[in-house]
Amino acid sequence: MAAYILRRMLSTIAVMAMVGIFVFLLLRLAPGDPAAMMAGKAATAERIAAIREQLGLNDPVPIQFVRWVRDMLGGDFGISIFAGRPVLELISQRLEPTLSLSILTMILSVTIGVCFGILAAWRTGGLVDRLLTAFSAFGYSVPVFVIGYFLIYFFAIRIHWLPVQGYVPIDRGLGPWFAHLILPTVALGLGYIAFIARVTRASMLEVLSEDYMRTAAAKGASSYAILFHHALKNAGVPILTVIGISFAYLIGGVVLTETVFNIPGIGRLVVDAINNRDYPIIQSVLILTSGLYVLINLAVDLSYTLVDPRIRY
Amino acid sequence: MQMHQTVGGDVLLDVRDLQTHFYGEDSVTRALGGISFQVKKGETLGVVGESGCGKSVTALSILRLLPRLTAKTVGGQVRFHGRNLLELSDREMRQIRGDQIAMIFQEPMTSLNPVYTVGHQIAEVIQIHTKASRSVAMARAGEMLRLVRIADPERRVNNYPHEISGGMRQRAMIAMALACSPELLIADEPTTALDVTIQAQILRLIVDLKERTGTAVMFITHDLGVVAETCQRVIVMYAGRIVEQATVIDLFARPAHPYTQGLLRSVPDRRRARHRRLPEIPGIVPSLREPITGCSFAPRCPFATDICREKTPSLRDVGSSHATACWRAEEVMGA
Amino acid sequence: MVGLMSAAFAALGGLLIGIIAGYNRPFDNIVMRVMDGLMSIPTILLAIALISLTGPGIGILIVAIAIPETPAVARLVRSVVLGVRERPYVEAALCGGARLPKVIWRHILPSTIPPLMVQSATVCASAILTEAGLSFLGVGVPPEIPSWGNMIASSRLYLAIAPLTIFAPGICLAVTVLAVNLLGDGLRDLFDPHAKRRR
Repeated sequence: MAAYILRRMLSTIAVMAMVGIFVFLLLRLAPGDPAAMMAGKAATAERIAAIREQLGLNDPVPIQFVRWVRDMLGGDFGISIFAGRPVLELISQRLEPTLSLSILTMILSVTIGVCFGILAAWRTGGLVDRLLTAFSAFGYSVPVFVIGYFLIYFFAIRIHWLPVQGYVPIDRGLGPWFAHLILPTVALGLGYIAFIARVTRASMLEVLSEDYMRTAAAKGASSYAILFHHALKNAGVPILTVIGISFAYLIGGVVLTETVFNIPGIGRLVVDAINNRDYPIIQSVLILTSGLYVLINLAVDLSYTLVDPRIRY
Repeated sequence: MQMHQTVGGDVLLDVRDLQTHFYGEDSVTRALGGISFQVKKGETLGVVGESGCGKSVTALSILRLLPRLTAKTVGGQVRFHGRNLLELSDREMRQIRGDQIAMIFQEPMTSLNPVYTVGHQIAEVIQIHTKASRSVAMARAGEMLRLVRIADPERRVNNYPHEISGGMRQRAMIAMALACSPELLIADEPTTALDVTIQAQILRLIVDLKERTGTAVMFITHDLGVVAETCQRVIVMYAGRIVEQATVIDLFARPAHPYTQGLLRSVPDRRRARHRRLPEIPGIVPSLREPITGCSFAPRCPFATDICREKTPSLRDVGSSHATACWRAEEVMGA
Repeated sequence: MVGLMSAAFAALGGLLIGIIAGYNRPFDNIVMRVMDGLMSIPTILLAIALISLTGPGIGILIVAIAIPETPAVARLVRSVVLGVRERPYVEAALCGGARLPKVIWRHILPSTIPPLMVQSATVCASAILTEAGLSFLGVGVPPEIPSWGNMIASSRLYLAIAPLTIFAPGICLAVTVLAVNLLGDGLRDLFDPHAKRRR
């Protein structure tokens, strides 16, 4: 077990190193002068020179890399070119809305998606199953931002049930916080629910055809016990895997959702950074999300042992 | 058709004209073409036949465990304590499964849920059918493991199925099936997937436990040797029908159906010269997709005549509690 | 269409990387780590990073969408290659004196095509969505070229007054992606009769 965790940690570090090198080289190998790019078309030569200096672009590449890695390991992700403040500070200011949105979506989608998938697998070809097929075709095909505007138009503009846009911090009341998050969560979650439901269904179908499911039925277990007790735990590994993998997909959606609903989170930070050509911010978000992704997937891998006793590391 | 049935008060399970069909994409397979038999309290009934003859389908039809989408019992009755199981609600049926009628399956490797401990799975059936608490059920699971002679039961209750051997898994399955002291135990080829030495142990165990608990057993197998060791009465199935029904002694001494004769001849016999080839039954099992006219065994039968090819024989008595579905049973028995 | 081009690039790149990785151990180790790394970055963020460094443009947009989609294809092709290279007929061809490139071309490549085509449809759908998302955020195709994504972006201020200006391109987008997805499903059913029954 310990050896396995160690090995996984090493490969995690390797992946992170790859991401680091990739992101680092991206800036250095980009065609044209990145400093000029970031300064914008109207920038003066001094401004470009200042940016070059700030990014350390005048030093040899290997030295740049070592310094870059050392800074990042020490928690220094650089200074925002536009705001002139440490990137990490900017990111942490924006963390709460993004975390609220992604965690809420995650919880909601996993719960609904798994239940949906189980019911569809329980009665293959039945109403729920056909509903899922239609729903997942819809969920896969309609872009997050289109769903978002659709929801805003109907639920906020037409019938005034929910606020149009914006975000209310959680310490200003759970009610308003939640009300502002409902629509974004639904918009972001639809595709995610479809995805998880499809995987759950496929995995459950495989398990339901196993001999031990017949044993369970022969014991007199109820349908509920058979599905949620006997089948779900066996179907758990693939479901956990896609929950981990689809995290990247979720973050991609967060960027769009925050733009649609005007939520001042990390997604907005990135979009603003594009417009301001604030590469240090983009680079840091890139590295942090990919680090988070790798960690989540490490946790998922380790959680397999909880679900399936046959897996031993 | 039912004249062979001597209706007595000790009948536990009474299957009448049971018909089960399987539905393919564009075909219907008549897996059970109307079978009738009884299981008496405390007896061991053997059900013999080749693979695909409908033995397992019979068991699954009785417990209503057929795959929901592809199979359906379309006719007949399964009377258990006078109640027709086919007419019970799902809820009533669940109360019977595992409690009054239990089943053990062919594949001990795959019939236990891999993600729960053996003890948990035995305790589960106890908790479903009694109001026992978790700890009481677990303690009872331990006792059951001792009953099926698993060494060190206190430790084994906490083992997962992959941590124990195939023979032990089948013992655990038996423990699970007997946990609620069922009146009928259906054993579907319980020893087929095991090593020969283990097979004998498991057989011994089932026979012993049956004698101790008085449970009736319906023993499904393709192995006539197993039948001889364990059963009092036997039904022989062929192509979804019962072709012969007899006591074990009668069946071995005076087989009245040519198919039974063929089966008996193909059992290896130590007394027979080693170099001689085992006689086999020529031909193949008929497809059950098309309706069969005449006796389904006629194409493979050395005794077949015109009547066999034209009219389907039904079971008729050829001795006391000995019945067969053959037009020419007398000739067969004389041969 | 940007989505189509990106999908084609991603499929070709993934095919090449996948085949080489399937046949060359050291390369495999390094490349698959890089692919893992790429997969850990959300598609849209990676594309944003690429574009923010180079400035907008159709060419860079295609590359920016194709790069994040490549790892999935490469992984798929690699797994097919690893499976096929052990097959008896491939071993037989090698034993019979055929040269490796020829064996790859004649025996290995054909078996990667069906799953690759199915995957390409998925990639294509996802590329269209990414392109729309990027255009919506204002980093996709330059604003002077109309695209469904920036149509939606430019009309979002008028949601309350003229919702159709958002919904019309939105529905077009959805229908296109749906069509591509269904094409993928169809291809899978065509190539894999088992999957059809299971679904």
